[in-house]
Amino acid sequence: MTHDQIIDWKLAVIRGEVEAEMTPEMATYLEAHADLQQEFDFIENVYAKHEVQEQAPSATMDANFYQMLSRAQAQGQKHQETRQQEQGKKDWFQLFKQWWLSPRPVAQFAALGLVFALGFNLNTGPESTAEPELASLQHEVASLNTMLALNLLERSSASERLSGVAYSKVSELTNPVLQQKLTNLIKNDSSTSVRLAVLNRLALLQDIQPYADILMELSADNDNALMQFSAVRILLGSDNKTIQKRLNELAKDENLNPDIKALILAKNQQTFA
Amino acid sequence: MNLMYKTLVAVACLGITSASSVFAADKNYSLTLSNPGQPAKVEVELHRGELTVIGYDGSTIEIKAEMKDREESEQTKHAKKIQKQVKKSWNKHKQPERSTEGLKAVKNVTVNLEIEEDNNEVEISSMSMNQYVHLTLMVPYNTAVESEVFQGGGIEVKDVSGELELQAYQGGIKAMNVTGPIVAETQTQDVVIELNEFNSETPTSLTSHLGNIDITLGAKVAANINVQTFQGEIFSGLDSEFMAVENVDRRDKSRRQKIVLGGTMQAKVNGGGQDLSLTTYMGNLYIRKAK
Repeated sequence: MTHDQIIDWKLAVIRGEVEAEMTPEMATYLEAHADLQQEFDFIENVYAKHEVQEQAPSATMDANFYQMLSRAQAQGQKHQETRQQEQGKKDWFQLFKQWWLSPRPVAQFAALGLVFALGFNLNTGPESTAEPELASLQHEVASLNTMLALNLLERSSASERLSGVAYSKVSELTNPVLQQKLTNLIKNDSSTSVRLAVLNRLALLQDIQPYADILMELSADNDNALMQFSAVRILLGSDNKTIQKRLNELAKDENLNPDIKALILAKNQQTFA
Repeated sequence: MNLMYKTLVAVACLGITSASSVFAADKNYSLTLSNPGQPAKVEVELHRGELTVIGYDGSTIEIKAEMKDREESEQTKHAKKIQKQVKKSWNKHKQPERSTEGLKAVKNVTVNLEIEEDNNEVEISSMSMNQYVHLTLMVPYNTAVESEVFQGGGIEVKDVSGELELQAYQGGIKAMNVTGPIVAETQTQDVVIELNEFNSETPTSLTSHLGNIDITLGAKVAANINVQTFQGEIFSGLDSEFMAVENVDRRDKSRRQKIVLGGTMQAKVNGGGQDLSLTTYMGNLYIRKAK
């Protein structure tokens, strides 16, 4: 008997697929795990809040959600017609589909329930593609992705944390909690794979100022050349004069990895050429 | 594993000293899981030694710990020499060394291993700094393995279909007939992986700072292979071409976009799928198709 089995059973009960009566083994297990009871309460709250507890997420609701999403995409294309934006949208949609098809524990299920509720409500209302609704929808989806990313970034499995970093690509990085979480991962994660994935995510930011200190710290750390190179490359991509000045100062450090020093100097030569 | 809920199943401080086995001592232990037949997770920490994990058609964890009198490398000998000199200088102003005249050295061959189990989560650790332990585990096929080996050798995994999280600081990592997801990291030695199937639920990422990464993919594996090496080379036997990854951030409120070209290259194998990332600083990347 595991947590996942019990949660699967609970979700099946909510969907009306199995009897609500627990086996004695389950009851004993639940009694012994207070945290599991909290998760049950959380699931029930999500259903109660969005009034879907009596409804299984039916094929109709599923279809409605995708219709709504398609309309949102079509509407978005009117405003974003560049090739790069279309590519970004495709990536987002594929990521979303992967998540949709991937069974995940409670927090993700909560997000799933909220998305169903959102899609259901929007599709039962009058036909409207007004911009405020679209913006609101996009905001809601980004918030859900942020919630999902935060949940995955806290997992003990490095592979799941990598999933969290992937979801952060479709999240609002302005969220201070997410920013803090990513900073902590860069500093403390036991896996260089996860730390590098976060850096690759940060490379996409318009403004890396909130992460400048930690990136400078990594750039000066000769113990992990992979992290050092990735951090320096991000900083070199910034047009912030303070950051460039700090990098030039760093290049004067005699103990700095010579390859890093050469990278900074080469960039400077390009800038002044 | 939360310490609060840990059940100490076994603490094996196994002392074996015999005249006939001065240089090696083996100890076996069979661990029954709380929920036999259910997926298990094994976490292993070895301070000095090497780890072999083999999947088998059983429901217990079979543990074999072997003390090895490993031949010292030139590097280790050099380190020991320096250590001796440092100790000598420390002791300069302290007491003189004790006499060993008429005494013979007794080699410590006690296997110090801790094993804990709680609800199919198993923790095994050997944190002794002066013992080289070769730990061999037979685990049910569907077991997740999380392991760190700090000094000495590497990690070898075979026939395991659970998630793998492996770190070897001095040795290499070799995993055969596994499905992943895998997050593996070495410092100086190679990462060699044979993926017959690929678990696409969460990403796989292999990193080596100075070593090579050599991966062989089964015919049915569908994945997005991301490769990045700062000073190494990339060799591919795949039919798919590697293309520079184009990243676009379109979420800025000012409607500005940021496009990052290069850095990482990607090939979609069998139509693409979950991310499988290979990253090295100095080592080469070898991507092969299984024959």
